[in-house]
Amino acid sequence: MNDIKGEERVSYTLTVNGTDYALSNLEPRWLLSDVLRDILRLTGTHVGCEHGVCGACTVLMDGRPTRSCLMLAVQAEGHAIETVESLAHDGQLSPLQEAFWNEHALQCGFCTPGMLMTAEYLLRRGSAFSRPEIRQHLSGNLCRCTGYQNIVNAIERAMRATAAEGPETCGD
Amino acid sequence: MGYVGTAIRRTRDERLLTGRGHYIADLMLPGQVYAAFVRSPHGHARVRGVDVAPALKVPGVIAVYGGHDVKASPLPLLFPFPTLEPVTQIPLGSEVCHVGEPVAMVIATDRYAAEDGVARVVVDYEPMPAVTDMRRALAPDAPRVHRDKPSNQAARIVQAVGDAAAALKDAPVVVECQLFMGRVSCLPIETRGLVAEWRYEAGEERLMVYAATQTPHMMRRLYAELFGLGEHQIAVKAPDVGGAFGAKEPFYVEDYLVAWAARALQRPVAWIEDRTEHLLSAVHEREQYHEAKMGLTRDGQILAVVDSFLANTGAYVPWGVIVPIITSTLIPGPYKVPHYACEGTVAYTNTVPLAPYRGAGRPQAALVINRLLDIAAQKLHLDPAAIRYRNLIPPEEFPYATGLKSREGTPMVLDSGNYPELLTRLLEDGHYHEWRAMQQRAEAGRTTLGIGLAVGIENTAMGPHEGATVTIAPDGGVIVATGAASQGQGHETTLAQIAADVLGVALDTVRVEEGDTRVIGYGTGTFASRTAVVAGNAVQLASEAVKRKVLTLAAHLLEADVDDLECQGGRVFVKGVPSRAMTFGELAMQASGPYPGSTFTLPVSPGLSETAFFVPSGATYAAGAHMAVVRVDRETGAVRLVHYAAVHDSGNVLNPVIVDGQLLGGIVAGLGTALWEDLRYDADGQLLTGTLMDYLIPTAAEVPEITLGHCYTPSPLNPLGLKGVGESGAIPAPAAVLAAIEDALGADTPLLDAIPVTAQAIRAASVAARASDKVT
Repeated sequence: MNDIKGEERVSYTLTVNGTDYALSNLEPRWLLSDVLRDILRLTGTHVGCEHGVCGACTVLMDGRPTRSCLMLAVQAEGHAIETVESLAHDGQLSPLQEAFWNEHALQCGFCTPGMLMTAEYLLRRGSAFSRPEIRQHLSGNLCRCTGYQNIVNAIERAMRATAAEGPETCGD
Repeated sequence: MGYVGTAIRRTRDERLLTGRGHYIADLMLPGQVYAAFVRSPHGHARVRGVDVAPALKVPGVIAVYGGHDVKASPLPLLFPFPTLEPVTQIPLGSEVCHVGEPVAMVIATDRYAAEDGVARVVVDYEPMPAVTDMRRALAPDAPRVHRDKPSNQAARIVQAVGDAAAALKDAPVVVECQLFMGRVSCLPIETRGLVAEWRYEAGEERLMVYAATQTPHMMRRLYAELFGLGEHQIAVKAPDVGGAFGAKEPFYVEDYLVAWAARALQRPVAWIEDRTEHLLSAVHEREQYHEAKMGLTRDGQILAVVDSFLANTGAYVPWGVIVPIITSTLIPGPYKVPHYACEGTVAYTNTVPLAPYRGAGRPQAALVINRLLDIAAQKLHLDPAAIRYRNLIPPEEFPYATGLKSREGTPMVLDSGNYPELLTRLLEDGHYHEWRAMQQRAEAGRTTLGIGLAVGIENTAMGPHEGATVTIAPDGGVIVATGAASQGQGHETTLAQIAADVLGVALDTVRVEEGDTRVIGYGTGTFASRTAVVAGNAVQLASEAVKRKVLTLAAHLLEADVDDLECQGGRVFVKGVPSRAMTFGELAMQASGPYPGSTFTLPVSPGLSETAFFVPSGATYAAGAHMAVVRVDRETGAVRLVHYAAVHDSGNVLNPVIVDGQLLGGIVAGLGTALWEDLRYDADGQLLTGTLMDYLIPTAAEVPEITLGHCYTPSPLNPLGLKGVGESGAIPAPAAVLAAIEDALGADTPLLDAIPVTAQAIRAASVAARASDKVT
């Protein structure tokens, strides 16, 4: 059995949604998901399995989808973390959030933050994905309520909305 | 106004989309500490002793409790049945009967420290023989699941209509099938969890529990029983709940133990189940083995069905044996079965208990009857659609007395439906005949196309009741309070639609309060596809009562006749004279009474608030017809879902957006049951599928595009004409998928004998077919 010391403590800085948080006196073993939720109280990031399969805890790290339950918070120092709390601005939902709402792409809402962050990554890639491609990209995010169809609809809708606005228009 | 029946996006999604939901794991009460459980690594063992001393030395650990500390009695039986020999779980009891059963509880400052403590608790187990296979469990020489019980048989279930044995004997055509149905997990993406806090108020203990639960009022009652308190001393509130599907319906030992620890420590205690705990301790479902026979005329008309089945209930009966009871009553389903006999035996095994999961015994029933029909169709050279048309209950025969008894012993009567129309719509929407033509044109090859049909019904809207209190507040807003709790079904929208229509107010002025025992005295909960129907009609009745009160009061104050008044936009006015009006807010203010000490002279009782209960007289029957199209690779056994179509009858629909969402989710759950979800135990009781890497639920990538259609036969059993929908999608899906796969494999391939259908099983069947080809 491993020796349980429980005495070691570390201090580090996390950059979350553009804000630097100086954290001190934390156990190094704390997961990024737990520090986001229990220390920073950014409880929008959800924990569904703690073994990297369900995707509910997905955040963006330097712009890429990352399982916050599969890395230690201390490893995230020096990287830009984005959580679901960053998507809306000044009370205005992002086109992606609006699309999820309009397409009924959420029911219980528990997988939603992870779904949104994975979809946000796709949207920022700026290209138009086919429905099968969207489904492939979502295969790391489990949902037990929606059957996924409305989530795919929402992402397609958000892609159309951002393509209509953005410079990287691919046409419809 | 017409909100009911309109596709309206949900009213409260913004919060959930911006990360401002409030789920159980988001709670952090002042002084809150965290529980973790030591769980049995043995399928069956006696607990000789628990040494907590090493764990107490771990930094952050506050307390450690074993069975000797808790001294609890068995949990109450939740659903008695005459033949049931009930065994319910004892919190930290001295005999553990499945892997994962709690043995000790550690409380610490955070979950990390609590798990450190768990690793340090030393338990002295005396392992005992275990049995996990239900067929083996019923053998006379099988190990006993519970040391003190003479047998592993939990219950016998018998149904009979007519004389099925005689009818089968005389039938010109008899077909049969055997099918094992695998075990699945409810698997909400949010696991279970609760936070319990005790306080002294007015010299009395008070227990406040926040819990991810489907049944807050039942929890309150059970806490009252278990702690010997009055219900007034206890409140249970479900915050936002991240899905449930049955997993959050029963009362678990952890629910008791966390509250017990909070009382012992006099501080809030939280427990959030992790995923492995969920797979090892939250209820499972589905596992049954059926042997069934069907007798038919030569033109394919059913004469009799005889089914004999085994059902696994695991180590305990957390919701009685309701799942196999439901299966036994629903095998005839939408079809006319003049003679029917069913005998089910329910076995205890050293596995996680089984209790309702979305569908609750009905997918199993739909599998049996639809499969028998497909085998008969093949034998009689009939199209699967044709044999169904021949046997579906005709619309003119509703209400249709099945001859069976419902779970309460009352006659089981199907209230309304039009099953042939359902099937016709399905064949059209799903392009059934085009797919058949494509199948026939295809050249022989390694992959083949298969098309499967299934029709199933669901008895929805179970009792005993649900209530609603509808209140118009002095600010003019409407508050709807109900005992049903939401786990994502959108009650905050659908129930508000009902009240808004009755009262003639804007939807955004209606607020739904639910999932909290403090907002209404009695409640039942959200399960069994019941909330829209039972709570929905209660909201209708309570809203109508409030409206009557509004009109009586307004007539008095406006000096007008009630019949001359109209409610619109939150105002009451005299028809044709819109200036003679009062707002709901003004009326509510008047009804709340003048200043303290004055006299109340109004012709209504104080307050614009009314409570009404809806008590269903019986279940209302929803129905669904599904078509699956698959492409099967005979060499690798791979199955690809090419197309999926479903047509459902959910009676009148409150909100098509939400109903379609429920159906899509249910269908995909059914696809999981058919193809991937498979909890496996070894013979000693070890769960072999304890993570999401080996227990597979459908992801977006495997799921096909699904087309949905609707038929509408309103229920005559409730004022709104509604039927439940939450589970409907899951019911015909496994039957449709299995039929499609067998259709792809063709008549010369041996029948598959189990779901989920694995690639190995398909390949084995193909190999067997080739071997018999060579022989003949």
